[in-house]
Amino acid sequence: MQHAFDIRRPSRVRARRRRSTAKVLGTIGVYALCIVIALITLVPLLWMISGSFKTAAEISQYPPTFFPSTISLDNYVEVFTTVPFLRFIFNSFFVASTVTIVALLLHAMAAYALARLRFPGRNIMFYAIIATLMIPFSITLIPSFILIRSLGWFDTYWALIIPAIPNAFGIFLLRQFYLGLPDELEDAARIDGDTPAGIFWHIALPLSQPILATLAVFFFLANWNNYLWPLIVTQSPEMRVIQVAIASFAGEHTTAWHLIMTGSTLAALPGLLLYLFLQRYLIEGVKLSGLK
Amino acid sequence: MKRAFTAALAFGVLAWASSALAQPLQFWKFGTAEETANIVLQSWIDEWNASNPDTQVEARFIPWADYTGPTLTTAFAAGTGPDIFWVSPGLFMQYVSNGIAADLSDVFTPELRADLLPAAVEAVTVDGVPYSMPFEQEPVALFYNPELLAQVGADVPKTWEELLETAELLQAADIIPIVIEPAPGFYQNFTWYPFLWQAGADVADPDLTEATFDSPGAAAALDLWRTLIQEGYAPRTAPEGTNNVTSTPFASGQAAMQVVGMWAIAPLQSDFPELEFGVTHLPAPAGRDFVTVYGGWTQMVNARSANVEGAKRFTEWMWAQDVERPLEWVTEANTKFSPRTSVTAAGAEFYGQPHLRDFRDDILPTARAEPRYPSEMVLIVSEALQASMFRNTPGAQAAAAAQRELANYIRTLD
Amino acid sequence: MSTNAPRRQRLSSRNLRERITGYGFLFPDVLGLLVFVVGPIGFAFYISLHSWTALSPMRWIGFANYTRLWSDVRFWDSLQITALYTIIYVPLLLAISLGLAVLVNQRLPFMPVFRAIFFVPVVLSLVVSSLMWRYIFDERIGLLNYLIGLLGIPPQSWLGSVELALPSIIVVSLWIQMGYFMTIFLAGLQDIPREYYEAAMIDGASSSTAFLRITLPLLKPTTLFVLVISLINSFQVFDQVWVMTRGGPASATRVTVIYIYQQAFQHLNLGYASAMAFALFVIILVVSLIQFRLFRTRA
Repeated sequence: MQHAFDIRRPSRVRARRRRSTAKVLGTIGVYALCIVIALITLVPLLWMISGSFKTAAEISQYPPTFFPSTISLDNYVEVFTTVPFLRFIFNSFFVASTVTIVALLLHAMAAYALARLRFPGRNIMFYAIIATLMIPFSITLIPSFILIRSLGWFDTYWALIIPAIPNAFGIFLLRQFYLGLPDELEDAARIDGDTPAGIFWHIALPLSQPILATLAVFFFLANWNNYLWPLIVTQSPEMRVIQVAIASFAGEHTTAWHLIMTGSTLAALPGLLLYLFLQRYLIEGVKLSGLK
Repeated sequence: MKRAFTAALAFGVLAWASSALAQPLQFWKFGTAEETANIVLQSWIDEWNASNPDTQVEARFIPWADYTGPTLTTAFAAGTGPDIFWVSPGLFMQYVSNGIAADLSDVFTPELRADLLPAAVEAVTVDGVPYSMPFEQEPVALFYNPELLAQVGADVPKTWEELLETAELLQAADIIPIVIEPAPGFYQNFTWYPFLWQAGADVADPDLTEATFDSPGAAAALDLWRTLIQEGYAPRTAPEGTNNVTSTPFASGQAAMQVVGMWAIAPLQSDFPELEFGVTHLPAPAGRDFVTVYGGWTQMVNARSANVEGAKRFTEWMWAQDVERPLEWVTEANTKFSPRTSVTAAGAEFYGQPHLRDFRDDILPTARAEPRYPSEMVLIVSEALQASMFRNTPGAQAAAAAQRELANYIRTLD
Repeated sequence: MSTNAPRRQRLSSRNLRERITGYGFLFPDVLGLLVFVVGPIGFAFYISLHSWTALSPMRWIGFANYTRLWSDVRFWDSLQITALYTIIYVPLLLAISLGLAVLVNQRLPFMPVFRAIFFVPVVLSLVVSSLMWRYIFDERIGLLNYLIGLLGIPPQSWLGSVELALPSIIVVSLWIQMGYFMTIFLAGLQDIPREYYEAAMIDGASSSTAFLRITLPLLKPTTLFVLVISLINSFQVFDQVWVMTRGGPASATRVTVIYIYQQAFQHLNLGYASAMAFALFVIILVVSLIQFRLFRTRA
């Protein structure tokens, strides 16, 4: 006489095998999908990199070739020797990093206040802050320029850094994040006698690592890729940023695409590296179980 | 006491004036400091600065794509516009009608006027006053690939009918017949005007008092480009503006013809040396004369500059005096024509080269200056052309609609 | 807690501290916004009440610009095109970026690599991406026509045809932005404790139920953010359209901000351009407020 368990076992085994085959198929499907999407996203990047190795004549060919016929570093040499490209990289890097660090701190504070503190006028302020995103830059370009001129900041780092710090996008994103934090965290801290500011520093801020990492990448990229504003507010070659430099490779009658590809490849690196570096903050989930 | 005060005031004014004069004149144009043309300009500036310590000039080169739009406009809006700058025909009237352009009458001496081509002077003159200094002309022509044409046994087309017939043959042989500019904007209008003019039509009368666009000639010119696109004789898109000839199928030997200007010669010769090409008139309707258009920047002086006189002297020194610098500009720094006949004569050897010869002898004499229409008129014409090309609107219909809008607009001008 | 006590006395020191902290935390950003954002916006509104070419002094004309745009056919056409763009783009963006986030959120090997790869389009400059896409869309030698040719479909002129230009640009916009919003959704997904899912599994829930019952509700704040931001952005789309078609062919892709830009910097009608921008602002504001209403979270 078989044990009751034994009677159940074959179907359980079958079920388990069914589940694991489904799981394997599912995993294969996931990877297949990922690879297809990866190809779609990577092709332009690879084409750009291959373009940075092509000569000016080869890059203008119609139909375009994908692989360069010869791999030469001439373009890179040309980019760094004909213009002070390193200086441009430094300028962009300095501006983007400074804005990112300062902005993250200020936005985290502002967002926390909007999400978790109570005070009169909070909602109106929030909507007003969001409303600042709804005006296209074309229209505020000239007023902003006049403002910068009157502050005497034309052609200085101040003009590139300070106006970029207040930003409704960052405040909005962080506020949504802080809304999602469970109340228990703060109640526990409040009972312990912590001040609202203290709760922010000791609890909320450490918990916001994933979102701050995300925002760091976005802010860095937004400032790194900024083109029109730096074009307008800087003039001397020492203050030029990388995107303006790359745009300068396009002329009235010819465009130096090989240099644009090279410059753009160089310009793409910091953003990618930053994203890879900050990835680990993104995947480390918030472990709340200990606090329950 | 009063005397001392007056003296101090005078001294202060003098100091302010001299410091204003001591500020270097800002000279803005497009491009980068590293490109050949601007290296040449910078060498002139250095030469000028060496012998003119009280009128220093400083150049600023702005990326081409955004020179005329945001950069210039924003600077003027804040009251910080440059002292000397280049304008295109499209911008010219805006700057004149807003009082930015300085009167250059004293620069246009009788000697200079005798030397300049009349059309060039007329293009920068408003109500008898010259407001900008012309220094270059780049006519538009038909560039063709004799090998590809020979493949289908066709001659270079001289009339619109021949153009369409040849295009059909080329298309059957899987060769792109012709490259024209598909993207809307100044450049597309610029390269289309010759076809309008050759058909005996025009947008409006020279004084802009009456729109004349509702004519069979305009309809025919619109229909020509409409046919070229709708029949697939010309590509509907291009990777970038077709004025950058190196990225067009023509440069790569895939297209038999292209409507483009003189500036294309140098890039084609340097980047595509194996390409054999010829240059000829743009095809005209049967029985009509050949007409084409030329473009070119002109140098303007800011009437609100702190040192208008210095800016004018500098401009005069650059372009209106000896032949040496203008010649260097059109033969060494670039490949263009000068509006000064003495310069063209001095460059006889240079212009005797293949292709340039054709431009000088055949094409330039038939060239009209790019019109300086207000931007609203440019837009109306552009919309008519685009509608014909891409919405298959019959030329007559598009022209009639544009005529109404043009007439309405002209009514709003004083 | 007594509800009869007058409000004033309920303002405990705790509440006071909270208020002060709140205002204090907001102060630097709000000050910055006021000076560098609200100030210029206010000045732009002032400009909209004038006629201004930037080259000459401003001329007061009151609300004439606003009455003018009311009868400007081109302006309303551009709004129509922008609305069409938005209606197609935003839902697709939401679905794709959320789908990608769920896809790469799984604890499988190489997922961090895929996350980085999907983020690449965000990092590339628009000039380079647009050029690449212009080649992909090319009617003769483009990759897309090659691929659909394999399926027996005749070649199309993607950016050169009035019907296909706008959808083509939507595809490019999606390609550029999906990695961006995927990353935002990822951060939101990280926020959801794994224990919830484990509990659901034990209760025998399927993954789709877990998704609907756990993931989506907890993602509400993030989803609202993505929705509002992508809507604001798509109403103001400019860069990729400008680079790829300049608003053509035949104005088929002339979205409102392109028309505004042209009026401002080509036609030098700065007052009129400002007025149009504020008209657009009102539309965006109304739409956003509706969204906030629909997504009411405990704020």
